[in-house]
Amino acid sequence: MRSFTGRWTPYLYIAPIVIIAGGLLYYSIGFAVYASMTDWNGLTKMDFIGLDNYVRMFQDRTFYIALRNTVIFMVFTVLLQAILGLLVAVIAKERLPGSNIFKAIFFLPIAMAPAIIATVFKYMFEANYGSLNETLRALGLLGANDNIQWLGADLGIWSIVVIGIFSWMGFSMMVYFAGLMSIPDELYEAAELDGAGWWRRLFSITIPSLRGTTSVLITLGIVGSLKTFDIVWLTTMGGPGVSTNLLSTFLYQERQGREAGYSSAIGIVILVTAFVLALVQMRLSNREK
Amino acid sequence: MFEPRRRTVRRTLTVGAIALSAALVVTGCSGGGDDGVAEDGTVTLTYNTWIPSAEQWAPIIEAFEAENPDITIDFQGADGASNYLGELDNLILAGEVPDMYGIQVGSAFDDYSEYALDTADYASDWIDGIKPELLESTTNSDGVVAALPILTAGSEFYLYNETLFDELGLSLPTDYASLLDVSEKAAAAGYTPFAMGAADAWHASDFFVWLSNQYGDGGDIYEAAAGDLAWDSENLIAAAEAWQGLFTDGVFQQGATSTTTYPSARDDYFMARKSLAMPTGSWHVSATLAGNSETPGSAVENDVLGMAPFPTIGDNEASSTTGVDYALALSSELSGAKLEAAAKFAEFLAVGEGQQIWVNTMQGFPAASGISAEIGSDNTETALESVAAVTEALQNAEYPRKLTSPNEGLESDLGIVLQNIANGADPASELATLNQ
Repeated sequence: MRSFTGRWTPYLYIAPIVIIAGGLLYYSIGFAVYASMTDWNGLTKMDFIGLDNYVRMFQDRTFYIALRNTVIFMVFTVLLQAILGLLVAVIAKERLPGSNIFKAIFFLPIAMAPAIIATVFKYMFEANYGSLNETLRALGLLGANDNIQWLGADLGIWSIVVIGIFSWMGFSMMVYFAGLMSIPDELYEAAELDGAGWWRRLFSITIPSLRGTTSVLITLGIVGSLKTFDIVWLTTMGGPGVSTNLLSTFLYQERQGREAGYSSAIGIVILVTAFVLALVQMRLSNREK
Repeated sequence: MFEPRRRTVRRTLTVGAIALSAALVVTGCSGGGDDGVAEDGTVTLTYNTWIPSAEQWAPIIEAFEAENPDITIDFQGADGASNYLGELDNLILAGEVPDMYGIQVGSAFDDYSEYALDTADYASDWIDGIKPELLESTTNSDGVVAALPILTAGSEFYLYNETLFDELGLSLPTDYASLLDVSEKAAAAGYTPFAMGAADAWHASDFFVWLSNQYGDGGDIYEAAAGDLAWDSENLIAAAEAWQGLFTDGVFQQGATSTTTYPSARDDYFMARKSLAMPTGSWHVSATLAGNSETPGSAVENDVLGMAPFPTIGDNEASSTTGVDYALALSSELSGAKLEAAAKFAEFLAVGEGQQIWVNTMQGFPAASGISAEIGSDNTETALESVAAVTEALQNAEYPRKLTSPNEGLESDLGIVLQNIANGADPASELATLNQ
């Protein structure tokens, strides 16, 4: 018969992490759920108002702009990162001269702080004296007094998508590259003997073999997109107006406007969305297997 | 054979796990513990704020500590007011209200004043040294004067590069027609006319408050903020249309709604010598003075800079807005030796030598009666004229710079609406969104 201490020993081992996770994570989530049902201003006032914040959110045009932008950002960054990452990884695997330098160049942005990337792009995209417009002017593609507002209301979200892809494509490339290394060469040799060309081998061997890798990248991409904040805040602050807001910057903006209860509700929507999308992605991935 | 040893290891690990868990619980629940009063009687006070800047703080603290060697101030500056407010919120929520903290007047004042000591508890002997009309701004809804006005500031002014104006053969604009003329000529010469930081809600809002008072009888915007007048009323729509005109007429640069005042408009345009001028508030007259910390190393280092009130745009003559730009609050938790020490610093900064030192930097204008900036004779004529012009404009100011509203996030909401209008949205329907 096990002693009392023996029975509880396993629980004591996991107690530190349970306390840390429970205190820092689940308590915070629980508090955010409660705060989302109050009119909390971040300091003093905190009266229970039920689901009013959620009702208000679904009537708020900024929420829909932020949601649309988040979906655009998520779909395009996840998709293009995966495609470009795979392409670069496949090319890098060919062991062409200089392929290691090639890999290093594409991986470099991963080693850079997002704040640095965002600041560099902000200066490149600046409408009047930014290097991108200056280059276009020098090439005669833009009039001397004309400019393209890369960070303006129309193009801003697309510029942010470009920054997002630049920042994370190297990560996709490295993950795919690692996946490619685990595909047996015999498969390619057999396919070659059967007369399969480069494209056929890509679609019939490489991509199906990397399904698990792709699934992981998509899940990480979805969660990463919903968490993206720094590159938006440091380039456009969600503006002009609210045109480039993602859900995360919308949340922050509302908190700055002393709407802590409302911003908690936005946070809960982000959390639920991330959870549901990750679940759907995992279900789909398991079904394919 | 190894059973006893395994048991010992298990027991050790168990005890370790319990100890770690207990440590986490204890450290999570305990406070700082340091009350800031040493055994030898020296007092350390925490002071959280966004201004004074590090350069401004150095002479202030030097003078204070010379007078009060037994008081040390742990100065915690922040990068900008909005970052500061986030940090202050976190400290307050963590139960660590700074002993002294900077505070802004306006809609959120009441919230912060809840953690502040009534000035009657420490300043009653000398508070009459502060201009009495300013105390209204630092009085909360319970009628308690919860903070000391320290500096005042106003809008809307513009910092200009006189050397560049001269090079282009241009004169300072005096009305909207000349503003357009200067802007057109500057653009033709390859310069941005007025580098506006309209990406900042605070600046768009400050400018619009100033502009809106030039329509009707003036003052409509304060009624709208209080909920007593529709935002899409005639005079406010007229002001919003004029605001939009500044962008479409080329007075403000293209992409102005993606430009922040600090650092973009200042550093990437004005200090980079790519713009003739930049709209800003009265505090920036400091950049015109000799020995300022902003221009050295920039492209305008050798240029003569000046500041002037922004010319009239609307129907009525423009009048500056003004108000308390910076107030000091003392924590309601202070008592004994710490309260005594904090009161000394408050007096020093509000009506004493600290006020004079800070005012001399032109970060703001004095809230204390009988104090005025002492400007050195090594300044240019333009700088001296600028200080005089800004001082006169603020003395004649008719309206407050900041709005007071039940909507604590009004400045942010108004800023977004103004950015949308600047980018071509219909002024009336955009303003109407603020009615909710």
